Amino acid sequence: MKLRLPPSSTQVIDRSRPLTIYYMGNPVKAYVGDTVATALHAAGIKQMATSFKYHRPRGIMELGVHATDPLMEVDGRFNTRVARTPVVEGMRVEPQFKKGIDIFKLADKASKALQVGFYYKNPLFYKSEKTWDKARKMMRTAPGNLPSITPLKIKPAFDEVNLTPELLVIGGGLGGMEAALVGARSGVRVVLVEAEGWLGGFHAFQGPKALEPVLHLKEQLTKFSNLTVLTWTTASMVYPDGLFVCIQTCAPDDPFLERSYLIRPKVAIFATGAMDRPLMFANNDRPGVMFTQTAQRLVHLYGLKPEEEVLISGGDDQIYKVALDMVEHGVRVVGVADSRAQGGSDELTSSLAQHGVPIWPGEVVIEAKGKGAVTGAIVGKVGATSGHSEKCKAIIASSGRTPLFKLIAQAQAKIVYDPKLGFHLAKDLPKGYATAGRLNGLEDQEAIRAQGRLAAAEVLETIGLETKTDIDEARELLGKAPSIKANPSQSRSTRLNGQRFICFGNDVTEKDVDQALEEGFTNVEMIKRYTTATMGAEQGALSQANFLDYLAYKQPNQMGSQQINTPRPPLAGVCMGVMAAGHHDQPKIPPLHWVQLKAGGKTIRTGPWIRIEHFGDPEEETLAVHRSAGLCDVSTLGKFRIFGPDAEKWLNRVNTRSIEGLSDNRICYTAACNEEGVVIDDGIVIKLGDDDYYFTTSTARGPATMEWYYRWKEREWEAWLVNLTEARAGMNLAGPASREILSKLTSTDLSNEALPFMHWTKAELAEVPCYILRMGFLGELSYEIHCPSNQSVYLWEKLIEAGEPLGLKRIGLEAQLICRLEKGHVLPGLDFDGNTNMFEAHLDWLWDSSKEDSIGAPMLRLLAKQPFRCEVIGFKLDGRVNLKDGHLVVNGERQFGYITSVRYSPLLDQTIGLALVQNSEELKKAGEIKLWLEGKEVRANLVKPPFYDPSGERLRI
Amino acid sequence: MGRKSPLWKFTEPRGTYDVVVIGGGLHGLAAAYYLAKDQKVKRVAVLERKHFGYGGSSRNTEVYRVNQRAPEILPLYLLSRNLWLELSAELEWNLMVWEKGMIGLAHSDAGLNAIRMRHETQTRMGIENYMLTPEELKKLVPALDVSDKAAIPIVGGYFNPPGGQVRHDAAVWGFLKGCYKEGVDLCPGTEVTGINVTDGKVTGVDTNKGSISCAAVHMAPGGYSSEVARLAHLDLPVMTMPLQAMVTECVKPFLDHVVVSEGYFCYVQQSIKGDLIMGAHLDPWQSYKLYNTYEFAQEQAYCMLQLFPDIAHLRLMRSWSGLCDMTVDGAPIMGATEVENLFIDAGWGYFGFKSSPACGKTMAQFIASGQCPELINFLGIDRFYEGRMIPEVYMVRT
Amino acid sequence: MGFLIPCPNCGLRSAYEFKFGGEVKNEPGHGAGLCEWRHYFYFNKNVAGVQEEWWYHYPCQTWVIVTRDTATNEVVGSPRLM
Repeated sequence: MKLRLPPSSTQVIDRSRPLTIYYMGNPVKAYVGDTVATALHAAGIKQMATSFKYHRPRGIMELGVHATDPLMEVDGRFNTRVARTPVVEGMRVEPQFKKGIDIFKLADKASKALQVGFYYKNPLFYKSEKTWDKARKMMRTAPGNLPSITPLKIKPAFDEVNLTPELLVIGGGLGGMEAALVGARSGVRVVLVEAEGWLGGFHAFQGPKALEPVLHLKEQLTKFSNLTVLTWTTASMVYPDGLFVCIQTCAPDDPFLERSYLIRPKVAIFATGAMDRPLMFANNDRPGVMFTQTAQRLVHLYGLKPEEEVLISGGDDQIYKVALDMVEHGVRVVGVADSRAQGGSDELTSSLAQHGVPIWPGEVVIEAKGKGAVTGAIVGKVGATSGHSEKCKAIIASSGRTPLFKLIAQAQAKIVYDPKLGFHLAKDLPKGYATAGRLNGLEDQEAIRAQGRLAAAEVLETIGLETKTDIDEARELLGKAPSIKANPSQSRSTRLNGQRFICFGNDVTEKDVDQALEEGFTNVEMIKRYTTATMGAEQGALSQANFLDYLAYKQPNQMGSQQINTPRPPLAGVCMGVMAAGHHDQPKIPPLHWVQLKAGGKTIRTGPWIRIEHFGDPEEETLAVHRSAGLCDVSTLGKFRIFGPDAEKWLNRVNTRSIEGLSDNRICYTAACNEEGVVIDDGIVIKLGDDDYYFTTSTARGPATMEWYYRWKEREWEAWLVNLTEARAGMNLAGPASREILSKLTSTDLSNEALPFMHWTKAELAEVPCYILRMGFLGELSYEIHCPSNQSVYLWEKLIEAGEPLGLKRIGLEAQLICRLEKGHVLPGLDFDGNTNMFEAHLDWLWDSSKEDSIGAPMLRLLAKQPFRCEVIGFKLDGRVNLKDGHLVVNGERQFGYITSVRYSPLLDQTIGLALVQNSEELKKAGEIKLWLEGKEVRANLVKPPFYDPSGERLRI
Repeated sequence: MGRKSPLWKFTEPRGTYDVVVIGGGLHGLAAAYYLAKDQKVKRVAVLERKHFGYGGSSRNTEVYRVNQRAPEILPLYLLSRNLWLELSAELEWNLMVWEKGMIGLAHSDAGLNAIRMRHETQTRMGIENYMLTPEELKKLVPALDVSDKAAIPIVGGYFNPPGGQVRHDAAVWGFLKGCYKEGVDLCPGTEVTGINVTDGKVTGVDTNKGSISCAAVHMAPGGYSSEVARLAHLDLPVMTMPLQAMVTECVKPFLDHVVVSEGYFCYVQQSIKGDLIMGAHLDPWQSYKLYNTYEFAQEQAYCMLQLFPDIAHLRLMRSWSGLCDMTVDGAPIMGATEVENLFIDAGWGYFGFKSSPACGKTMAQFIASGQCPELINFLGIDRFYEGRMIPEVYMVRT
Repeated sequence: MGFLIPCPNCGLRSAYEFKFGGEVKNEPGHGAGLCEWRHYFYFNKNVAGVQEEWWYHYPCQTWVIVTRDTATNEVVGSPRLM
């Protein structure tokens, strides 16, 4: 543990709680508060991962919110970002790269000779399919650094929480905390999210003095019950309508692994800070190369030396501060290369000189030496290709800073590059959003804090809130702040472009960009895609600034405008599990579900419904319908009450049949079509009383009924529509014994004279108030019973009790489908396609052509004279033939259509069906059709349905 | 290494051409390419408002397939697939074609029946495909959950070998290279502001870079088809709708086919690099704005986990969206318009990428010869007036 | 939420709570033929800009006509009940 430093007030590790994690099976000592990355660093592990393309060794370069590398396997969870993962006792950490021969590593050696996009340009690949196949297999399966998807032994648990504060503050640094406090003091609900486990942001790792205001503000935060602080929570997605998705890494004692906070604030402050901009030099990706903030985090937060001896390179005053931090903590600083010819301020220079640290003004690191990790550096004049060699174990380097604008960019702010400053700033923020702090390029503490207060006051004002903040004071402070310092320019190289990495994620170098430009890629987006720069795991966080900077340098006329690549959610990878956390399947279950299940019903999922398909033998069930009786649950049907003085008008508008003059006990069977005259549904209408009707729709159309009816309602009509689908259950009792069965349960006269076919009555069955509708969907004497849902189970059991002695069987959906097919009853959702009109469906008899303004009437009038594009036809074959829905109607090479419904009817001992065909006239002339079954043509007779009881006698007994 | 020679050079448009193509996506580029190469038309220009491939061509999820529902349109997709297989060698540019096959999943009897109809149709047309049981599906896709633990279990499916992935950017660059070689003028940053028609015949276009006179104009503007057609006072039977997609981090190979669930309405494939590219259905409204929503991410993640429960830890890296010009019958509009020598290739919705080579080839044929190729003669805009909808989409419009 | 639509009953709600009913079009007049009707059904202006359109709010079962800029998804003016 020679890198561990003595405790200090800035550290976030808890020395009183040591713990052990395991790296490749070996114990590693750490403390609560460490991340996996810092724990491994303490143990002296330098190479933690390898890069994606060339499998170059990689270590800790960045530790902040955008540290998507290194990725390692932690407790079996692959691609874990170790810099962003707190240690937990017993954690098992494994690298994801393989040791030994790695062809990608060899490719790295050859990378100087390999072109960008070589996989597009290699003639071996494009000339020969075989060669490309082989190459592709190799690219896919070569051993390397990717994790595998393996069966999950433990199903991880994820949580989803919705929050609606008035104010959301993203970033718990000085600016963010000030903003949150302004909001809290004004009395509104505030949520503050912070990606780290600690508050303070940049100023938490600048040393004890800088920490003082952090501690002060932290303490203030605890005083407000209307302020929620969420740590280890990364705001990852912002959507244009104001939804923020923040992902929290849960604490070890939380039953959930991760939690998503879906936050819909009225206003928001983005105080997301700024990270280092990588310095460009050869091999600037080696383990041991790290940012200035990284070095400071290690020292101040985790009590760790970056290394025993470090070299520092940059171009602003901050590098002197960093050098002093190092020196004060016993780290030997080999030298400070300041790219500015004039060097740093006298004050900073002299304090460093006092410690004997060499300072090299006008110089910069040109190359990092060392294969697996940094062993030294070449330092030389800016622009030079050679210089002096220095030994060191770490290179702490940056070329200024990059404000972290990815989130505010997702929120549709305009991100504008300021060429004088050398970085991007967010402008034109959407209303109700504001930015504060280092995100805006500020560095002065007082200015950052003032801006945080000001931003909160401004956004809260937009929702009409007076904050108790002295806005003028904040403005004044901000005005007095030193001007924003520009970034130093990158040093441009002439010799080593092939090793200067712009994009660490995909190993893209300056040379790659040069080549792309030479080859004719002139647009930022095209260059990005061709080189794959910014398209790796870090999605541009570390690479975009230098990518755009380099393009502007190479082609100032074309790319000087510095448009950024469109930022898309998420900010940092968000796992599938946490996004799916709030989703649950919510099937609909009819009230008669359980009583049927108990009796051996087999379930089937149809759309959102769970229904009963059969009770063991659907064909037997159909025979029961024909011989005695069958009882089936039709509760899923849409059921509606429509009433009011204009109810009739409304019904007549939507339905094709005229409802006018519908008597009190007649059932009107009608269809509905859309404006095109295409059939959308069929159903029945009955009149409950004056201006009071009840109608049904098919199961599938039920949910869309309200919407459809309301679409066609005239504003001035006085009528109301109530959806009773779930309030009422439905049962179909069908079979010659049904009257006898029902009569056992009611005193109402159900004789053929009292209740003829296509009539209905109110009645009490077993004292349950019902509508009894005598119809014939299933083809025998039958009654559709509608009763209140909460009494349906009771009634069902009473019917079973009454009917079983008479041969009553429970029947399911499948038996229904067979019986209705025997009668040629079409199911609009099944037997037609989206373009079948009323005529082609043979439902035009349900259209009252005298109705002027029912939906589709004008088209129906025109279509009446048009030839059919398609037609529903019936067919049959003797015996059982293995035809299924979807089989084709053919003749030689030609295809006429397909079977929409086909079943074997045990009653008829025939295979009967409906098909939707084109050129039906041709088929009808032949009188038969040919079906394509298992590679052969099978003949079937063309039959005009119904297939059973064509005269409808059995319905009218 | 010496300087690389340019693969192409972009240019400002000249004052006159034989054919002007509006739209620098794959359909426009392919048409221009085949006009120059097959049809030997000398002066062709492709005018693109932004940069080449800006629209759907660089946003799609890189799938090509020959598994459509309407029998009449299958030959077009089959031609396209055959062209994809030849184009790398022809353009001397690796399009990274990977014919890994399409697997479709049914979660209900209705779904299975629909698959059956397509299966039989395709088999009779000589398009290789198989209907599979859940167990057979599991053999091809070991990570798939075919148990009844899923909310809506898989009851069967299909496997269509002639389908797979083409690297979309490579396709755009390949055609750019091909166009350049054949002498086509490639003009990015060129916005067409007017289509000039005299006596019912097209005479040229106006652009932000000046006017161009030409004998024929071909419109292939994707999501912006209506806006471009409007320049010639034409309405189109399309609505522009947004489609979102997303991509995950990379993992070792575990998915060797494109998988589409007809029940969950989502699809996924694993690219050579190892990331999963996934998408689902359109956002159900008209919009020209490119945006993403969390609802999409949530639903996509949920559906994916129903199919592949073991990817719970897999991370979403990036989401994006594109515009789809959708017709009501799910089939495109190809051919002539009521303006003489003004041609159109639009209405390709979310299925345009896969057909681009065939569309380019057939439209080039049509434009150069004046005769509509049989392969596309049923796709003309007149079919909407004549009630000849292509039966690709099944559901009723309400 | 993708964007927000104003419901006269419920206020600004996520578009996902609604069904999009298409751009507002004028029905062909009395006596129109097949071609005119089919033009009305299938052809759209499909503007990248401001248009009037139908939206149905599922929770309160209300149809409303909204003016929206399809290029930005911003709603303009007030919704009107049909």
